[in-house]
Amino acid sequence: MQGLSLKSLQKHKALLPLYFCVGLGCGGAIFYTLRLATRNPDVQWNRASGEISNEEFRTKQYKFYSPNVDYSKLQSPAPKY
Amino acid sequence: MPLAAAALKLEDLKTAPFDPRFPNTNQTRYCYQSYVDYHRCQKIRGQNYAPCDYFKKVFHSICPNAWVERWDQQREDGTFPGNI
Repeated sequence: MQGLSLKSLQKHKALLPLYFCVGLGCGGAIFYTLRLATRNPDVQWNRASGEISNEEFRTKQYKFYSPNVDYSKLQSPAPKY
Repeated sequence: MPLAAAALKLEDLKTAPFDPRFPNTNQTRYCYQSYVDYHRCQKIRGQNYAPCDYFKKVFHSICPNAWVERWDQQREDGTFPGNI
């Protein structure tokens, strides 16, 4: 098919933005899925590593993007027992 | 105690505060974690340790009452899945 090889792509430059956007979308989807699988405290791959816990986020950001809240300055109000 | 209830002012009635451990809209985990924490805390510190009551307040305002009733029942029967 035209545009799928580097050589034919030279003749169909209009396809470049399409490839860029599709690539960006796929990359973002893969990145975020992997982030969820590895960083999310609700996900556990190995039972032996103990109970899942949100404790490490007492003063750490948990969300991927949070422009208006500085989590390093927040304190969890829950007591430690 | 009707007297004590009347003494409660509007300012005393507060919902659970924001907890940075659970920043998402979905607060299910905040509810469950507080419930488990409350009973663990009581197990470790005994029934009369005041800071434990913080967790009680939180899970009573975050959790649906039906869940709390069911979990209480499960704890009674010894079938509660969590580790208390």
